[in-house]
Amino acid sequence: MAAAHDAHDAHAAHAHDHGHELPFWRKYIFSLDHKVIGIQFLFTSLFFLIIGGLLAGAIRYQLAYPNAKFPILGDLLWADNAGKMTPSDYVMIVTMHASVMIFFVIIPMLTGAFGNYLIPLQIGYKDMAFPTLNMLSYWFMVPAVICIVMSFLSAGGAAAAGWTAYPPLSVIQQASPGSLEGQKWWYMSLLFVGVSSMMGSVNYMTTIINCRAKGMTMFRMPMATWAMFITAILQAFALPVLTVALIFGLLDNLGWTSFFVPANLDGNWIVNSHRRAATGGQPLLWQHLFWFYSHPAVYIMILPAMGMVSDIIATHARKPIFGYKPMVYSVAGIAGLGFIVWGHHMFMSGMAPGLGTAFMVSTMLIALPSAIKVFNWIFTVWGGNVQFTSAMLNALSFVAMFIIGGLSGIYMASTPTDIHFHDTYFIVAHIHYVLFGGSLFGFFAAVYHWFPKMFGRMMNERWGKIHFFFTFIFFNLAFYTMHNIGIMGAPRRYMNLQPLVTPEQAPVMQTMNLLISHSVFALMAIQVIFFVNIFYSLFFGPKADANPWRSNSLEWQTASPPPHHNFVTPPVVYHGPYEYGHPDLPEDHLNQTDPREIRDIGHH
Amino acid sequence: MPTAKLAMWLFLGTEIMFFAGLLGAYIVLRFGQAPGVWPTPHDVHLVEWMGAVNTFVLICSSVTVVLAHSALLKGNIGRATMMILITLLLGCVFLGIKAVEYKAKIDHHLLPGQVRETVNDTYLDEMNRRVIPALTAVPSRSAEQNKVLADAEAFVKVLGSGEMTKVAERINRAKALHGEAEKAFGAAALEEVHWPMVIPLGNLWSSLYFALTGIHALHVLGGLVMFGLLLVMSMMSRLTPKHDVLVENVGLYWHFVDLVWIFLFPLLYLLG
Repeated sequence: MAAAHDAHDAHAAHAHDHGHELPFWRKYIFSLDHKVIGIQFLFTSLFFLIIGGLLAGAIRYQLAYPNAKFPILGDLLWADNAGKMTPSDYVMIVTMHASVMIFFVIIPMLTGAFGNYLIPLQIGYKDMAFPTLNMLSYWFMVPAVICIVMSFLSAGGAAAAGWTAYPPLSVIQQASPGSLEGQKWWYMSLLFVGVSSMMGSVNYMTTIINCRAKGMTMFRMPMATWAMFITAILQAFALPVLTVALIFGLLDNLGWTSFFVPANLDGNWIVNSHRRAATGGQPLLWQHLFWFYSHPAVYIMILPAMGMVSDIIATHARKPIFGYKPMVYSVAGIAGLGFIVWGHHMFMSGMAPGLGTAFMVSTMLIALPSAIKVFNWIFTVWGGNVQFTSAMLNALSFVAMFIIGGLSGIYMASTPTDIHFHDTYFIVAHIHYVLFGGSLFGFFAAVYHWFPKMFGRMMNERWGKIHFFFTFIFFNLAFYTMHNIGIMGAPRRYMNLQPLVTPEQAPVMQTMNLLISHSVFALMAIQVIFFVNIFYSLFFGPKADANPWRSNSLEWQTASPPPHHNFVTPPVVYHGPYEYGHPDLPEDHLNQTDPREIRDIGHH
Repeated sequence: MPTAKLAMWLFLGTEIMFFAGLLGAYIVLRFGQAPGVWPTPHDVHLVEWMGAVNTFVLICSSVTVVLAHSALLKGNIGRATMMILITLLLGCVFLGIKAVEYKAKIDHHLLPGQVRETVNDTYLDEMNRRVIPALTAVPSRSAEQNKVLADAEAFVKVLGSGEMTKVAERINRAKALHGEAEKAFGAAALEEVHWPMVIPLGNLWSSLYFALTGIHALHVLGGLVMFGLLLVMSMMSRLTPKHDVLVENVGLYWHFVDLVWIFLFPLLYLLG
């Protein structure tokens, strides 16, 4: 507490020296401060989490009651269809649920919010290397948001070609209502998101390489920063390829070119006479370019959570992370392998069997670094003095859910089983175990853990635990069951699964769909607790001191919230970040800034 | 390494991936076609020497930007400014030649969606209504010209009867006829009568040509803006030897833009 007060006083003096406070709009709107930008990303992504969640609710209502009138909005949106959802709108909702969740929730929430907030603090620097570029990376999300909103408002509705936007469905305007106007906005929205991510990733890499505090060697960085670093590398070198695909797709959709339009599509499909003459386009090229980014993108969506969870588990288990360097190398290994596995999304699109086998083997190899990480988390907890805080519970469930999501992934990696499971609810279950069970539980853990640092107030632990337990239960009821209906053969992106199974299976399918849908509704309702907890604690939570979790890393060695430019004096680092339960010390943690000559134990 | 320079290298890394995606798409689309169908440089009015001159211009500009940086390091601001100006002008020459080339493509309707890829009813119509009457009206024709005219009339007749059902056969005949006509009447005369060109995969070629060179030209333009800003700094006496990293960064970017063209030139102009 004393340190925090000192920091506060010093901060006040510092501000006084400047003689002026920044006006509101410079301090909170067009801010150059990485902490404010991180918080802007956080609330933007929380807003889109609500949008994406409501879209998911609409999907699940339709699947549970396939022939019923849609409640409340039915008369408004689908009046000429007796209040029932139309098939093309169902596909549009599925498309936009995934697009919003991936590009406006998970990626900005992990790299945008926590990447921004944590990197300078954890390496002991005053800000990002390029604060203006950092501000621009947030503000490039604004045109992206405008485009995605325009997509919903445009003629024919939002994009409806799936989040993967496979041509020719996405580039031929007559192929689906969403490809009329909505798809154009979708392409442009993603281009803006891409520019935002590019700016962010170059900034993150530069900051981490060049701006570390004195004594902060690469191998003294906390895992969260390591993961953000490697994620930034993935983003920087995979995203440009998607940019190419998006530009080509947009030009195709506008009717100017035919990069992805197959040669023989003619007649009724294409009214545009120019288009009719064009030949030689290759739909598979889009898939290669798209997945060259979008497979690494799934690691962009999980690696930051892995890093943050590593920090949280070590802190709340009061033990050094088990195998720090193997953890770093396995993150790097996952990222490296992530570049050469994209073909496993295309086993069913037509691929030479030899090539398919190569992609299968490279994909299976990812199990090795992933397993190293899982075992190291388990061994970190093993024998630790585990503090069952909300942050820790969510972090532990991240590990558990990631195991299930990882194991179901192996079925998709293997060509023989993938041919059976491809495009069924099995893959839907898998992706949600990784992105909800993984990324989102990791996000919850990170919010509970770093909220005191961000806002200077503690979140409510009791409601945090209630939120965790019910989220955990309903998440598993909803998404585990999806494996079962997937194995029964239920395909994804269909608005009514009942006619697709045998009459004997139909009642079972219906029961399972009801179970899934009602679990999802409960899951959505439970999130209200999380949102209320955030906003209540923001104003009325008990004051947090500088280091409420008795953590070692640098962000906890400054006030909560940290002053402008983070540290009153530039910190000097003497230890690794995971010196908990040191046998030579009476206290159970050793700050990274502690100048005493004590050998590190958790640092190999 | 200075932070700004590190960031520039990382940015160029992302640019490498961007152009790798573009060139990769070009390679897949071009070499995924049936052999012998892709338009030759002659078909699409690509002038190799213009591309070669542009390559030379860009390489020279890479040299001058290096000279600008070394002059700045030696404190010779005047010489540095002169070299930046020359680089800027060379960049303008590049874009100027590019504009001349674009003009030729536009004049020949070599634009995405506007290239006729097959011999269809409009081809027949244009030959019947415009080309054959116009060539018949040419006074005192040579024997060679008369032969071409007879061939064209015969071809139009066959097309009208619907006997020549194989698309490839029609295309080959149309291309051969165009070659003969060019020899007999000259390219200018054919342009005057708007002899319909048939270029299989011409739309894809044109889409790729404009996408690749257009995105590259935008990068050149970005470089020119940077050189312009450096010149403004110099005019306001704000350019000092302390700005060596800034000039070096602009130079690094410029070398990259140059390097991309060195890949584009053979891939677009020279591959037969």
